[in-house]
Amino acid sequence: MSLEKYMNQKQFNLFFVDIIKNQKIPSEDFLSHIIDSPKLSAKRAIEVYQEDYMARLTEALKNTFRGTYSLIGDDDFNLLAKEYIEATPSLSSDLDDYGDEFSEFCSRHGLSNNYNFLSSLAEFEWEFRLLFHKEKSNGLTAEEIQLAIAEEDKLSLVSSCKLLSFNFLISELYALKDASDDNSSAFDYQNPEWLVLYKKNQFIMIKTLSQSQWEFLKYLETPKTMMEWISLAQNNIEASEIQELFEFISASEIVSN
Amino acid sequence: MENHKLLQPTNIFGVGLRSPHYSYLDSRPATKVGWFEVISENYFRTNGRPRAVLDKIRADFPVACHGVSLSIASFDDFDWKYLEDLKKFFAETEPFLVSDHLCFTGLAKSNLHNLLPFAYTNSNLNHVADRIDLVQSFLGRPMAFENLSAYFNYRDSTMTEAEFIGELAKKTDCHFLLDLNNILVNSHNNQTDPMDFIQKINLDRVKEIHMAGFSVREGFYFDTHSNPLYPELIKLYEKVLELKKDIPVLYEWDENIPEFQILENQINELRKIHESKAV
Repeated sequence: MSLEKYMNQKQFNLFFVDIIKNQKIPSEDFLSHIIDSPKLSAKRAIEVYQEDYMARLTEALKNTFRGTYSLIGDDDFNLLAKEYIEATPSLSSDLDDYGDEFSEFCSRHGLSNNYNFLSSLAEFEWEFRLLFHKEKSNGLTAEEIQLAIAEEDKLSLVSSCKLLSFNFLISELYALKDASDDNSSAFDYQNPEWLVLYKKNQFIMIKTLSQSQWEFLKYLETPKTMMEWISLAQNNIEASEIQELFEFISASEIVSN
Repeated sequence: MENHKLLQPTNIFGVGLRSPHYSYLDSRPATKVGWFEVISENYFRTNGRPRAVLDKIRADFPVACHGVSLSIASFDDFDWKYLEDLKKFFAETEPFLVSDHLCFTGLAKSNLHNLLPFAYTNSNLNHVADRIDLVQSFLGRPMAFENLSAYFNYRDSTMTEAEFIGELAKKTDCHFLLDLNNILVNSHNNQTDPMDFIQKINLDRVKEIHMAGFSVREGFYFDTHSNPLYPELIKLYEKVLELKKDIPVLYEWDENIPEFQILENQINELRKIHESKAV
């Protein structure tokens, strides 16, 4: 059967992509456009492309969501990945961009009943990835902050800094990916956590704050003078916590004017 | 179009810049690697560590940019934002060569991230040639297009891939990237002679050679870039050297990436072969 006569290349491509993406069994008509090679039948060749598609996208998800993969293991991650891939085609030119809806998908998936941290950890890992690809913004040093305060400049968090909060100890769960064995049951991760992710040189640092420190720092997502910022502190944060937070801000250079 | 010849590497043996080697390369070790190739899509929209590493590498080595998502044989319109970003990236990176594959990679709203074959017909030849003209005109520079490893052939093809490339060379002023591993994989799987392909190609239009280790499953060769060079691939390279020397050679390793020194060892093997042929 001639491709030109019965199905042009554009139509063939539509079928081909549909068969690969949706893991469909190709029709005899479709296969008739393909020649069996001496070592691989046309049907098997299509299966190879299907397997390759699933493997590539699964590998991309494993790479981005390393912590999630490490904690839930091969079988559950592969199941989750398969269903996500079937539901979510890649729109990006870069395979490494794949997975922007994975956290949301996890929150709706039945496996969240087995792993209550699943969606939160995936969200953390996606935010980690986004920050990884951001340029490090130059924040103010301790001296520059003092000068900015004296001049009543407005201060705000730099763009290469992200505040995240979770109902679980996500940073500790994430760290387990590098552990030699699974210690996830060795500590009670079911406690809330307030985090700052920021860049030091080209590397991402993770800092845990108290809830009051985190909420106070969050006010700087929009620019404020020091007076405006301090006035928002009211009575729900201890002076010692503010002092500690200032030391962190000065050392980490995460605010700019 | 702008002449990029002045930026050609003098040491013709290069390797792919891959993230597992960032830490090692950060220390700027002495190396016999002459140049690096980056996957354009892994670098063109990041301002993080990958870009910082690339900027360091660029200070010391010539760089080539190799794409995987242009989808030159697609029937959808180009993703013009993608092309704009590529153009900006090339202007910033100043590669001596930019390349992609003779394939399609999916549909506009569904990138399969695979290099999919099309039939080698006259109508597809005209279609691909038109698109190459369009993209080269937009980028303001020639591109090199890589031959494919394909796991099936179309009943409708009226020419071989090598003949298709030959005809494409007549219709456009594009360059070619000769992937010897792909030729070997296809010829093994189709029981053909890899030299048939080499002899049909105008090597003056070939601006880069790719070499990599394939894997074998069910008696079939797969282009996995996951192994050291096999003797049969080295033999094929020797035959190319008999026809033309000094084409930049890239050694690719993309799965289970080993330490950088292992890539260097492979490069040194190729250099020895090149030098023996030069004598």
